[in-house]
Amino acid sequence: MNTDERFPSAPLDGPLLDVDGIRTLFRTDRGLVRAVDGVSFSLERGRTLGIVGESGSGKTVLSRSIMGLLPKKNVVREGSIKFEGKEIGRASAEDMRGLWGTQMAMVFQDPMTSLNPVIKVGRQITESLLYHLDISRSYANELALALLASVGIPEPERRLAEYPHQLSGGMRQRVMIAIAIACGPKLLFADEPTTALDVTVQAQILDLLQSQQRERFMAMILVTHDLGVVAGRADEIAVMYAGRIVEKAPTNVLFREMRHPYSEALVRSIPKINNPSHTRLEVIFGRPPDLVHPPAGCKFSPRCPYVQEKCRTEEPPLIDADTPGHAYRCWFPVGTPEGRAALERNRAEGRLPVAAAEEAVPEADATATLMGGTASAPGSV
Amino acid sequence: MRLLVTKLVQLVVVLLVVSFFAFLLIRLLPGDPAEVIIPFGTNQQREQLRKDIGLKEPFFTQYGKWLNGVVHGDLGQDYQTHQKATTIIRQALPKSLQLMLYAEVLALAIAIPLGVFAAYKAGSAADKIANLTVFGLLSVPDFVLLFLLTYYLGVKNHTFPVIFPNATHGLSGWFKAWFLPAASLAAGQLAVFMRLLRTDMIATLQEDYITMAKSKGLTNLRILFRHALRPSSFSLLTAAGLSVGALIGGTLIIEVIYSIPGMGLTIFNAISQRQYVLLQACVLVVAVGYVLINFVVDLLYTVLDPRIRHARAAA
Repeated sequence: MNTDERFPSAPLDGPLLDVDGIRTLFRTDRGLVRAVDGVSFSLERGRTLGIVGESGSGKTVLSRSIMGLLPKKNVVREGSIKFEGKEIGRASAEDMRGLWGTQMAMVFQDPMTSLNPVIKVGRQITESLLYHLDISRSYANELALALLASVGIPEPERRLAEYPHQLSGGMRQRVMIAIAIACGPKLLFADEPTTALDVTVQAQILDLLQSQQRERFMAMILVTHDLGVVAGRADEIAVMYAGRIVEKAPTNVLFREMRHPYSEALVRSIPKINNPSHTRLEVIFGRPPDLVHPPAGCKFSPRCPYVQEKCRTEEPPLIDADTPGHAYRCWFPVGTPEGRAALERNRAEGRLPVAAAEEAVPEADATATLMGGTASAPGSV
Repeated sequence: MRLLVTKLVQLVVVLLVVSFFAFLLIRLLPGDPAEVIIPFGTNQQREQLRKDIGLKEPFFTQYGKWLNGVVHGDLGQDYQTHQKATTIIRQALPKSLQLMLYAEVLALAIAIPLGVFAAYKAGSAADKIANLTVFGLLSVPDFVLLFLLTYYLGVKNHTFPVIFPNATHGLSGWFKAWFLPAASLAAGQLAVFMRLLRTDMIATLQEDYITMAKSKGLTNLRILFRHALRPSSFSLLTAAGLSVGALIGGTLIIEVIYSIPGMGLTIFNAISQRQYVLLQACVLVVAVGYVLINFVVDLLYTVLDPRIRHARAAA
């Protein structure tokens, strides 16, 4: 089988990835966990989508669902996923194998555990090259060398012959990126690619991902809990909460015209360098909802400073904003007269969860929040 | 390299200790060689004999002389028959080793694919059937299995010899001659090996690097055998090492039933006929075998996992 037969060319018009109303439910003893609950978006070639949300918001499950990497057992998948116009929502692992590595690839969260400890780095790179492409072993080795050099690993020749445990965390993440891009995928998932890394290395890895993405014209889905990570790097941002997209917008629009209280809370919880020292960190009161028994109405309502009666009973649909491409799920959006009125009313009646939380947050929790780098609630740490 | 040298030094020390206890053990057994050799003589004759064969000398002198002989390949000779222990062991040991090797290879050849498959299909009907089958095999004693196999495959249907032949012809003859006892021994090992591998493998399949391998688009076969098998085989290797060690000493019952003149039979005879020198030599050979196998297993760990290799080299 030659390479042309294996990778038939796809039409270049239309989005690379079109996700429509996908749901991923896990059957557990406690009941159905609605990890991803009706998510839709589309992604053009060469663009970056940032998916942001706190732990348990379903962002990792979403990316694994799209890629089809979840186990079959006790997992219910619904909805449509179109890759280059081809439906892959119901594809079997055998069908997906034709896409994995060559069409879509993933950089995993933890480089410490995601590389095979007993196989040399070089082998782990050449393995997929040899498997997917019709090339000789020596050419595969040359390619691996070039890949390692291109992801910024010094002394690539020596590293090829080493085992993962001989490399630092940042280096291992570079190797993971090299493996992911080895066969030239069109879509790259980066699932919290810097969470397990040292702060000083995080920016380097993100820059590397971005430059590789531009050079190779890959589309990228960058999953993170840190709004700061995607701020300068994603073309579009989707904020996830309780398995749903609660706000979606082009990056500059989102930061300019933020509408959802959760997005606002995420931004406010980023520590600001200009604040005087010992400024108390802003946290989001409460914890993410139980995905087996999610609250009625808006899923964020128990933690929302804007919450009104309507929010607790009726779930807002994804409403299109004035700016094209911007949509949000909120009855009393931030920055609108309705939102302001709702906040005023809550303040007047002394129903502000955030203020109450601030009284209760012990210093240790605030520190933990800082370490986590994002909005997290006391008790959920 | 340094690792190997350290290991070798350890090995020599362990072997010295083992030889000492092998020597001591026989001295602690009840009975007196002189009485066995001259059952109806006078005490004077016995006393003379004790002097002649060196039993009157201090313990450590005796041990030293014996050890010197051992190092030079002399394990002593029997007081009665004057046969050299090395001659007897040289005939018996290869028989036991062949049986051991055959049984282990047979057990591993079935257990590895079966364990991998059962782990991959964990919880499925196929997994349950595989588990039940190997547990059935485990719960049947090996000699019962040997009787059954001999009856069906040897007596009713003359595929295999029912008694160990004196000489075998060619490779296929060798395989046939050893098959029944080896299969009976392998059946029990098989269950243990398969269960251990299955458990470790299930844990390995949960690892991130397996998902990673999957996301590279590799086939399941490749993921299971190239990525998951090696990190999952530590318990298996340990168990295989122990059972190899145990089988060096032969398997008395199997050897008796199938008339294999192996180590088990030799040790049994040495005990019942009070051939102290031979017994002592056999104990030493078995113990040394055990230690050597463990040495090899230790080295294999480092082959399996490069992390151990580097951690030990650095230490």
